[in-house]
Amino acid sequence: MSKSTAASAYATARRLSVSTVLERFGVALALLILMLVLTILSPEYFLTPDNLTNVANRISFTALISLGEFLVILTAGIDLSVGSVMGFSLIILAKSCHLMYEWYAGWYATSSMAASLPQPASPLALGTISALSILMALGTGYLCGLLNGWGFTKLGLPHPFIMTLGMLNIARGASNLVSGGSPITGLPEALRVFGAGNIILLRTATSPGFRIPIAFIVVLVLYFVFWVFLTHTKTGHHVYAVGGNPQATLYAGVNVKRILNLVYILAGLLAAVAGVVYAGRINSGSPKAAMAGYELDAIASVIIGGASFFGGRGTVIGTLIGVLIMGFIRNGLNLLNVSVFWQEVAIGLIIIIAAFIDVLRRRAARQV
Amino acid sequence: MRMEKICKSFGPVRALQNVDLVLNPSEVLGIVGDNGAGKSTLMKVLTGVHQPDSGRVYFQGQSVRFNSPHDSRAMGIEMVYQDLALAGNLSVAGNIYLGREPTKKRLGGLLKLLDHKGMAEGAARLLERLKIEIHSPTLLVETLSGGQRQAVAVARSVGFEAKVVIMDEPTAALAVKEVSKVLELIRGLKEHNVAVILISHRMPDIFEISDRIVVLRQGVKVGDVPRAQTCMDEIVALITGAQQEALQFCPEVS
Repeated sequence: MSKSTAASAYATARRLSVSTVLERFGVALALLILMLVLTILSPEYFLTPDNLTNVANRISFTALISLGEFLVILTAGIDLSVGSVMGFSLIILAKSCHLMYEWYAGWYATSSMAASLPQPASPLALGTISALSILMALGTGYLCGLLNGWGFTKLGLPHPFIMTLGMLNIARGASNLVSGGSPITGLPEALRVFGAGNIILLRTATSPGFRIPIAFIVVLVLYFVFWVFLTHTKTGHHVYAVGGNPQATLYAGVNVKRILNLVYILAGLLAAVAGVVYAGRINSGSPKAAMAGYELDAIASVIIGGASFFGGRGTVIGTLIGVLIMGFIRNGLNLLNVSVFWQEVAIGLIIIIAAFIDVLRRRAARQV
Repeated sequence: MRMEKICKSFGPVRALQNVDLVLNPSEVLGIVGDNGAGKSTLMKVLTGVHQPDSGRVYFQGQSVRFNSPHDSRAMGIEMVYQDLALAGNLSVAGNIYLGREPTKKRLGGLLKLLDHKGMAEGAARLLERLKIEIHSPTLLVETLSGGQRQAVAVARSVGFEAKVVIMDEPTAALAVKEVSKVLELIRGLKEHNVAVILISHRMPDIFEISDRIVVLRQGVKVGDVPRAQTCMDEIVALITGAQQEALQFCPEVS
């Protein structure tokens, strides 16, 4: 076969994949319709820069744990611990920040070498402490993720549900143990910037401009990185393959256990990043974050975004759209003064509908 | 490829007893036998899933020892599994290249990214070469028919310089219409100098394409005959262990 025929076969293939594009487009369409409806129902508030900034800020940490959840669900697994690991990382972050500051301030006050070193409250000292605390938080997320992976691949627990349910409880308990059950308040500016900072665009003398939360920029960057990872690297291809048929992937010579460990580690790391963002937002390490059940929001976003619980199906962009849909529904219902209780009912219904669409899609695929 | 005096036991069960097996280049060898006769165990020894208790395996004149399927694959021995080892959510090209995806360096060698275009074109060329009718290498495998999937599984195994392809019941799950296509594909492998070992319960398939037929019964090789010198009744007699003089079943051959 000549190269040109192979190339043309490839070109036909690209055209044929329009149906896949439509499938993806469906979720995006739902998002657009939702935004349109909310714009009509709440014309003065919904589409204002302030409201959009607010939503972008609110969804940032759920977007991060949802991304990790998506990776795990892609391998037909589940991670029930992302919310509590986020909370636990947050506590470790705040606690290590406080401990390091206290230790340095105490040492500085008594040491004769102190004069040559930066003052404890100086930006340099606080910046270093912040950076080290972030490393501690990421280490916590990594460790929790690694243990989740091992529970499945080494201990051979029957389903990731069990190991991550255990981790959920451990991280919740550990959050209270480390924090003593009350929030650790007050964090340095260098740390808060990830959750509370904004970049202001298009500011002029007459308009205040648009505030883009730095947290949301972190989200966009990480979503892009993971899109490249999943669609353009060998390992990403193997993640999809494990979700499609782990046995076949094993036969193909892929180290399936390594892939499974990797997705749980990445989910843990992303939960830790979410913890850093969350810390900046509330300016403290609160053990309540670990108890709030954010993992359920993450699972809901992933499913609404079109990923399949059976694994192997779904996209990074779909997950982001799922997160946005969840965020806009909450925001819209707030703007319309709908009670929080009804919001929960609405989100529950949407999860069921999204999962049912997946069932229909699979049924249709089988009939081809 | 030659196997000599292969023995393998699992606890008290003697799965293989002094089995010899020869496979010539470009030959289609049919292996038949009842359930538990040792066919699968023999193939697992050949692919390195199991190691023999005694006996030797020679490949291209050299004595070899396969400690894992990875070793045998490196020598060009590929197994096409009965349960279709394909991931339905991946494209045809994605399955063919699974585990050996080509990559291209990007950003000055900083990143190694998948060569999607190269995979699709390489897969299209391979399908064309094996005369497999699939519209496009980017179709998802789950949208293909059973026969097409089997063909993709075969293409996957031969695509990368396989010298021996072992097929375990390749036609068992297929519609009648598709069986002939798969058999044609197996016959076509000869032209590419690939030797095939075919394990099947479907006697007509074995007779249609095998050059030689080996019969196993209770872990012992009880027959090894060129197809042209035998008939179905004789083979069935060997499989079941009927005691009659074999040739009487094949009047037209003698």
